[in-house]
Order: sequence, then C-alpha cells, then structure tokens
Amino acid sequence: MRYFILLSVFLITSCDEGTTGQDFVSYPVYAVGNSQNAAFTSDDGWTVNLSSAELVIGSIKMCSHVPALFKEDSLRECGQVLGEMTTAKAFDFLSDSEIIIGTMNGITGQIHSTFYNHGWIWLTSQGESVSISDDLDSLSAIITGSATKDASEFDFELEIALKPNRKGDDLISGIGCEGNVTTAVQRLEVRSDPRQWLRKLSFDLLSSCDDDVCGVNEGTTAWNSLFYGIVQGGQLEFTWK
Amino acid sequence: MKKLLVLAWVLMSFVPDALANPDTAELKKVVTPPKTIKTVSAVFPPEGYTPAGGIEVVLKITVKADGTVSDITIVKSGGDLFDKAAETAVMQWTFEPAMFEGKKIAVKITVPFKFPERLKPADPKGGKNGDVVKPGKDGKNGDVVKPGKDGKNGDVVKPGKDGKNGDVVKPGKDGKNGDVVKPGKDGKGDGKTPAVKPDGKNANKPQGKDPHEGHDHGTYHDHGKKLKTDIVVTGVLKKQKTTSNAEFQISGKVLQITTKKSGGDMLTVAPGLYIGHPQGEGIANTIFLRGFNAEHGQDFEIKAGFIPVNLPGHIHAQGYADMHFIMPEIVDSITVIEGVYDVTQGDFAVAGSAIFNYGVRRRGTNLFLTLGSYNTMKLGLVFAPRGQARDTFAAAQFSETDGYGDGNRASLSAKAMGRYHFCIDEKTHIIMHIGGYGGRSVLPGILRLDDIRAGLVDFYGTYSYPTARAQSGFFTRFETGASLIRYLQGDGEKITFNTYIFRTDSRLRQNFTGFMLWYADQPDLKGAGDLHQQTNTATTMGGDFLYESGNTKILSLPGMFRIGMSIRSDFVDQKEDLIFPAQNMIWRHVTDAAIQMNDIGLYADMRVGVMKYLSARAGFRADALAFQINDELANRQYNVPVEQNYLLGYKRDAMGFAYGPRATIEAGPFFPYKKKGGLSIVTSYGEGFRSPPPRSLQDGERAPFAKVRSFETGVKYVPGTLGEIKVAGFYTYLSNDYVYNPVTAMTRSIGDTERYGAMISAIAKPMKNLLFSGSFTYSRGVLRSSPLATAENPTPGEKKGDLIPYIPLFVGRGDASYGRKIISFRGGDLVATAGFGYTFLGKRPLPYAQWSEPVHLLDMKVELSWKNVTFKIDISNLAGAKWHDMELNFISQWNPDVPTSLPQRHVVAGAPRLFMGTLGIVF
Repeated sequence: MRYFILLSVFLITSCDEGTTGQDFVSYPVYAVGNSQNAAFTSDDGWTVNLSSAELVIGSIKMCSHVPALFKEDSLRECGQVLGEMTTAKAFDFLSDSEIIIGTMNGITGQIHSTFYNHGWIWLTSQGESVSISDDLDSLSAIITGSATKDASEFDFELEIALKPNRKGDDLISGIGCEGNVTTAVQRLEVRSDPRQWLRKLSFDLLSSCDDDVCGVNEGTTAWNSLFYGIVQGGQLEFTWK
Repeated sequence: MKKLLVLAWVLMSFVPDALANPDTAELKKVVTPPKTIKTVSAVFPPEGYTPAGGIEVVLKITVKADGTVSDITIVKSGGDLFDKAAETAVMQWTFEPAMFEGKKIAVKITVPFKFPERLKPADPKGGKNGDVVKPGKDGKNGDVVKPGKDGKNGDVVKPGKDGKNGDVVKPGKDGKNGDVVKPGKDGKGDGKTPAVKPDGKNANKPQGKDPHEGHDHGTYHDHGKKLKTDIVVTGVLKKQKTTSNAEFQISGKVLQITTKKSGGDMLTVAPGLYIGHPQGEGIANTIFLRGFNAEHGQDFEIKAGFIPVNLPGHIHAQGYADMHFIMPEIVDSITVIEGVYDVTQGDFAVAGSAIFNYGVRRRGTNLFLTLGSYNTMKLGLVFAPRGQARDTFAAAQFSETDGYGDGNRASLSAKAMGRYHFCIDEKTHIIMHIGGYGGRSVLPGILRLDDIRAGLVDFYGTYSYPTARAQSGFFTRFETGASLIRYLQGDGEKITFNTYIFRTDSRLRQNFTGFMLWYADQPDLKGAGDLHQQTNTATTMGGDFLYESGNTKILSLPGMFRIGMSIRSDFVDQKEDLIFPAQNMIWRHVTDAAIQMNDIGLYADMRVGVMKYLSARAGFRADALAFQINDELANRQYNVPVEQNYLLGYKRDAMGFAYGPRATIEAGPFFPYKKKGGLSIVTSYGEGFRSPPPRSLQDGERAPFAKVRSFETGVKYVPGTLGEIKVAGFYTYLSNDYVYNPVTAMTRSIGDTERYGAMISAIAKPMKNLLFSGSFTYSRGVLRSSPLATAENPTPGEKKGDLIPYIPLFVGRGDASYGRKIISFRGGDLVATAGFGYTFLGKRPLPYAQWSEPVHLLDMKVELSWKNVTFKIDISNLAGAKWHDMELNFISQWNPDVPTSLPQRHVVAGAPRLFMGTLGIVF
C-alpha cells in the first residue's frame, strides 16, 4: 500500500508537466538614437542639420500575419497578437543614448508584421482619436534644426500630431517586421532615422515662411510631406535581442 | 426409511448478450424457466441427526437442454449424509427445459432441501434424551446441545429466513448457464415424514428486476400431491461477450448514488469522463474524455435509446449534442465505450460513445417535487404501468430556477417522453417512442479572470454591458421512432429494425470577446459589440438494420456474427449574425446556409471462441457521407462592391468514405473467484472517424474525415459477484483535429493529435447495502506536429509534443452509497440511504504555458423512504468550493479603455453549494 501511494504521488506530481506551445513573455522596449543621423542634404539641395528629433513611440502591436500588399484587407489583419505595448513615450532619436520607453507584453512566436502609433490611438470604443502621451504636449513629433542653401539659412521647428484616420485602425498597419520571440528575448530595440522623416519635405517651401522659426500647419503641403515622411519613410526598425 | 417431502422452487433469470443496442437487448430477457416433470424426494439419512430447526442443503444444478440434471455443486452443505441424500434425489429429477428465443437452453438453478429437525438421543455419559447434536463445521454431527422444540416426524418446518439462494451470479463459460436467484412459494409436507421443503420466504413476491420477467406457474409433483409454485424469473444472466476493456455498463444503481441533475451529468460516473457546464441549460454540455476535448459532442457519439443525439454540421459546434432532454429518472443504465472498438459506433465516436438505455424499474406512478437553492423548482411525473416492460413508461417534467448569480442563469425547461414496448407475438416485439423538450436559459457569459480579481465583475456575475446581459440559449427537440425486433429460429438469432425522425431548433446568443470584432467594409460599426446570434434548425431522419446470428459455428468454432447498416439524413438551416442587443438588430450577417447530409454506414463483425480461454471479435465498418451546402453568404470579398460585380453565394457538394477495422481479443478468464468470474486480458484496436464541418468543404472535395485509431490493452478482474476491476493503458491517434476558437465562436484545425494514458476503475459491492464505484484516469493529449500554417498565422507557435489545452490530465471519480432499514413503522420499513460522489479534476493545461487549479467536488444525497413515500436531500458541491467549471484563454476586449489584444484567462464559474429537497410518491 505504501508503495502504491508513493507511486501515485509520483505519477500525479510528475505527469502534469508540459507546455501548450507558447509562453507569455514580457520584455523592455528600448529606443536607441544615433547622432550621426543629424545632417543630410534634402532633395531640393538644402543642407539640413537637425538639433533634435523627438518622436512619441507607442502603442505598438506585434503580429503573426504576413502582410500581402496585393490584398488590401490583409494589411488590417494581425493574426495572432504576439506583442503589445499599450503606452507611449517620446524619445530624441538624435541622442546617442538609449532609454526604456515601455514594456512589451506578449507571447512567444515568429513575428511577421507590426502595427503601431505615435501617441494617438482610436479604439473602436472611442468616438475620436485620443492622445495617450503628454510628453510632447500631445504632439507626436517635434523636430528642430536649421537648413542652409547657398546664402540662405533658416531655423525650423516642426510639430505634428499623427493620428489614425479611422476608428479601430492603427496609424501604421501591417508593415513587415521579422522577429523570433522566445523566452530568451531580453529586450526590443527601436530605431528610426529622422533624416527619412524629412525626406520629401520641400525646404524651399518651408523657407518661405515669415517667422523666425518656421513650422508646418496641418493641411498644408509641408505638413502632408512630413506626415508621410514619418509614417511611410521613417518607419521604425525593431530588433529583438 | 422415511421419505422426505421435497418442495422446490426454481428461479432463474437471463439477459442474453446486450451487444449493440441495449433497447433491443432488453427483449432478450424473455425466458421461459424450466418446469419440473418429475421430482423425487430426498431420503432422510437414517444415521443423520440435525440441530434444532433442521438442516438445509442447497444445491446448484444444471438443467440441460434435454431436461436432465447435471453438474451438481453444493452451495450450502448440511453435512455429508444430507448432501448425499439431496444429490441422490435431485439427480432423478427431470424438467421441461428452459426456453429462450424459441430454443431450449441449459440453465443453472439452485435447489434447497430442508431436512427437518431430528435430534440425537442423549449422550449416556451426560446428555439427556432430547439433546440436540450440533453439527460441526464440516456439517457433521458434533457437539451435544440442549434440546429445542419437539422435532417430531412430519412436522412442517417453517421456511428459512435467508434468501441467499436468490443471489445473481455470473454466467458460465458457455454463455448459457444462468444462475438461480430468488426462491418460490412455500409448500407443505405430508405430515408424516420429516419434510424437506424449500426456503420459501422470498417467494411472496416477485423479486424481479426485469420488466420482462415471466411469472410461470411451475408444477411439482411429490407423493401424488400437486403443488403449484410461482417461478419468478429475475436477476441477470449475461452471455459471454468479447468486449473491449473500455466498455462500461453503468447500472442504474450506480447512477443513482447521487442525484444527477441532467442526462449529461449522468455521464460523470464513466471513468475519465468530465462533463463541463458552459453556463446553463440552454446550451449543450462540454465533454472531456481520455485526452479529448470533445467540445459539445464532436468527439463523442451519443444515443438515447436508438435515436442519435449528435447534430452534424451544427453551427455552434460539430456534433453538437444537447442532452438536457434526457430525464435521469427514466434512464436505467448507460453503456459507455471509451475509444472506438465496436462496429456499431459511427460518426463522432472518436473519444468514445454512450448509449442511454431507457427503463423504469420502480413501477407505478411516481410523482415528485423538488425545491431548492435559487428558487429551483422541478415537478415531475413518471408513469410506469405495472406488469409492462421496463421500457414502457410516460414521463414529464417542468423545471425552473433563478440560477446562481444575479439572475444571469435563470432557466425554464419542460420535457416529456413516452415509450411503449409490446409484443405482437412471442417472437415479435415493437417499441414505440416519442419525446419532446424545450428549454431556455439566460447565459452569464465567460469572464476575464483579471477582471474578477480586480473586482470589476463578480465571480458569478456578468458584465454590465447590454451586449453581455443579452446572452441566452434556447433549445427544443422533438423526436419519435419505432423499433421492431423479430426473433428467428436460431439461438439468439434475430433482426432489429429501428427508425426515427427528430427535429431540433437551437438559438444561442453569446458574446465571449466584448467589443473586438469589426469589418473593413463596415468601419462605422467598429465597437458595435460581438454578440453572436447562432440559429440552427435541423430535421433528421434515419434508421438502423441489424441482423444477429445468435450462437452458431464459424469455421467449426463457436461464435456469432452481426451484419448491420445505418442510414441517416440531416437537413439543416443555419444562420449566424452579429447583433445589437436592443431589439435584436442585426449589424452583420455572418452565415446563412442550408446543408443536407447523408450518412450510410455498413458494418459487420463476428465473435469466435478460438479456444477455451481465448476469444476474439473482429469487424469492419464503412461509411459514406455526402454533403450539399448552399452557402448564401460565401464568396464575400472585402472592398469590392458586391452589387456591381458579383452576387454572394456558393453552392457546393462533397463526398467521402471512411472505413476501418475493429477488433478485440480476450484471453481468460483465469483464476475464477469461487468458480465465478476471473481475470481476463483484453486488447482492442479500432479505427473510426468524425465527419467534417460541412461549410469547411470545397466543391467536389473528397470529404476529409478526421480519422481516429484507438488501441487499448489491459486486464479486468471479476471476483465473482463482488464487483469488477479494470486496469488499462490506451493510445489514440487522430488526424485533422479541431479545437474551439472563442473569438470566431467556431472550431479551427490544429492538425494531427495523439493521446495516451491509463485508467483504473472498480465497481464493488463488498457488503450488503454498500455499493462503490470509482475510477482514476490519466491521459495526455499532444500535437503530432505543428498546426498548418495560415495567412494569419504562418508560423504557428505550437509544435510537436505540445499539450492540447483545456483537457484535465487526471480525472477521478468515486461514488459510494449505503442504505439500511432504520425502523419498521405502521406496516412499512423506514429505509435510509446515504450516497456520496467525489470528482477530482487535475490541473488543466491552458494556452501560453498556463495551468488551471485542480478541482475537488463532493456531492451528497440522503434519502428516506417509507412505503410509497420518498424524501431526499441533495447537496452538490458540499464543501462550497469556488471553482472554474471551464477555462479558456483567448483575446477579449471588455474594457473599452484598455486596448489590449493579448489573450487572457477566462473562466466559467462552477456551481456553488446547492441544496435540493425532493418529495416523491409512488402509487
């Protein structure tokens, strides 16, 4: 009887082990900057020197789905959500430092795409988009610097709020992003090149402003160029380590 | 030498092989017992003396098919002299042999001889005349004791009190010999010679358990006196069967140890089987068995009587089996096969199958009222006319309850069933059947565990949003059918023909995910709420034909064979919509389909006694399934204006075959216990199938059935009449498995899976009035490979060897009852019975490396009965455990301000401690 009890205890305690395939994971998200990205020459010949390039990052969602560009609705499919950072924080991508901007909670698996925002979200339960970060006074990005072309020079400070344009959508949806998340993942690094944000911006146009420090107004051509420069040209790069 | 008057009674009983269909097997129980043609009295041994009160000798004899007597064994010895006298007498008896299914058969009966008191003269050294010689242990005359009453020759001796001779025991190896049970009536001697007479106490009333029990008036001759004695056929004789170790016959006595609230709950007694209660009566139970999450029936075939319960193609779950229409009060037993080893098992018999065998043993009109916790009320009537077959009855029940929680489990239901079993002649039986059910429940929904822990919602509560409060379930079922059984010339040869038609209507409104669903072509309706409305109306008709050869020769070996077919056709209309709770406004049509399915099954098997200790059963089953699907909303393409380019709809048909062998080999029984039962080694293998969800099929597709291969080997030990012990190990492979996806409220494919494990079960009646049934099962269900990649999940996280979630690795169940007479009062015995049922669920693996907590549940029943009145108290979850009946991990968004898309643990609260009191009157 004693052996039977011991065997039973052994079986009960040793046979209920195993995994169902995926684990919950949680790891910090670091924003990593690079001061080497401060200077560039624009398409219209201006030499641009950036002094700061602050961008709010978040929320972020990591997905299992492979985006299929020929099928529009597939860009909205996430498949299985493998990571989620619901907060947002600003970071100057021209600094040589790195900071933790949030925590990614998720599950293990192969990531193929990502959806993210820059401080503004629009949930299905919300009547309009809302800001989730006060870091930049509810803006998404503030970029400062100067531009020089021949004898002309001007300073600029570009402020923009990047909002999802439809309820339930993220600002950036279904772009490719590869990462194999295991329980060994220690951190996620996020990088972005501010030079790409201003890639399509017409500094000729910007230089025509009458202010001491030029900016962009929503709805203008410059604003649109900046908007698409950030959401299309300067997309975030993710590296899991 | 004085002759002794012999009075005898003969009792016997039989239930021939209950093979495939217990309903039809019931009919086999009609047995004409043997009648004495010639009896010879036992002669009182001249040297023999008895103690006061006389001596009783009980013999067990075989009455052969030719009416002669053989195989005499002594059940109760009276000493060598008296034993010999009884044997000498009974050897000269002749009978009209017992008749079964039109043929003469051999049966075993017990015959008691009572030798009247004959006291030994006083010992000249100290004893006095009249002292009684007390027999020693060996039955011989022994010590001298004080004299008792006068033991004059010719006194009529009162019958003994014990009724032991009526015990039912196991059949002989040949499958024919029955054991004798209760005695018949009393008789008197001639008044001159010491009388040997039967123990007639038990003859006052039939002791039968079988509705088919015959009341034959046997005539016994002795010394020219003609004595009329009732012969009562009772008890059970089982023919030898070669059945898998995984086949369990759960008797009514075991089922009634604790009160089962529903038909589904009755299955909890089956080893390794756990029944989940997803929220209320309006929705079918979930079934977990041997590593299978059978969902609402996709992996578990269920029949009630001869009518199927599973609904193929149901919109909520494949094989949806709502058992709430089954009244526990009219279920006599349940046959459960865990695995697929019998050729009669068809579609959905993947983890196993169950047949509810209808029958009411307590005849009369039973009126009962139950009142209990949360304003529960149940009023029922079971009318079982006396003198009719066990499965002749009419029953009805109305019930309602507020349910635990804040009114979020309130339900109403009504059910009725009528069944009439009659004989056209002695070889032709017909069973007519009709039943109806309607039930509606408010459903509480499934709650996020983090919300419960944060106090955002009560453990037994429901989210406050209208889309959550509007959840409900509704189910109706109407069924009718008939069964014809015709016994043919052979021993056990017969034909069974069943036909049935039933209609079901179900409507489920459930929101598992809150506010998550949205569609690109309806951007304005994001956040409308995920309240699914699923309706499914199905009309099913079908039937079975089965020929059974009875005992015959196969290749010169004793055996039998069966040939059968089943035909079934289902017509299904189903819709799924997403709705706003207010006014049930539909905001999205998801499904609108009409489906027709036909299933033709052919099967045959044979059983052969290869040698004395080796028998085998082997068979084959083939099914052809044809599907026609009219999917009105198929071919939808987002972002393409429908009206301009194409019309929705996709009609298609598909067909496929599924076939496989089934076999069982049994070696034994060895080491019989008191010449009965013994140890057998049983090995089984079988291949079965599950039909696919019809709407998953493409046009012209060869229907991809889920194929199951089951293997089991183990031992069973039957220690005489004490009970049964089984130990077995099992392995099951299943291709194309499915799991439930709460987000879509449908199942999704997870590829091939396998299960392995072991179980031990026991049924024991170690002492009078004490009954025990228990089992413990370990099973492990794992993936054979990673699930197939899809566009949404091209790199699935699951891999080979991962556990299939939600299935408890350990399932234990124990039931025990004890009853006894407390007191006699006003001409009736007050009998008290206590029963306990214990359920253990081991940790359940959940997705994402989570585990649920183990569950311990204790149920209790206390019953008092006096004459025709019964009062019982039922307490379920006696310890008041706060437990999770079900757990699911999936994504939901119930908090509009928390945009999480990660899966979370969700739970269904298990029932708290519930009290029920029931008063019943039988008249």
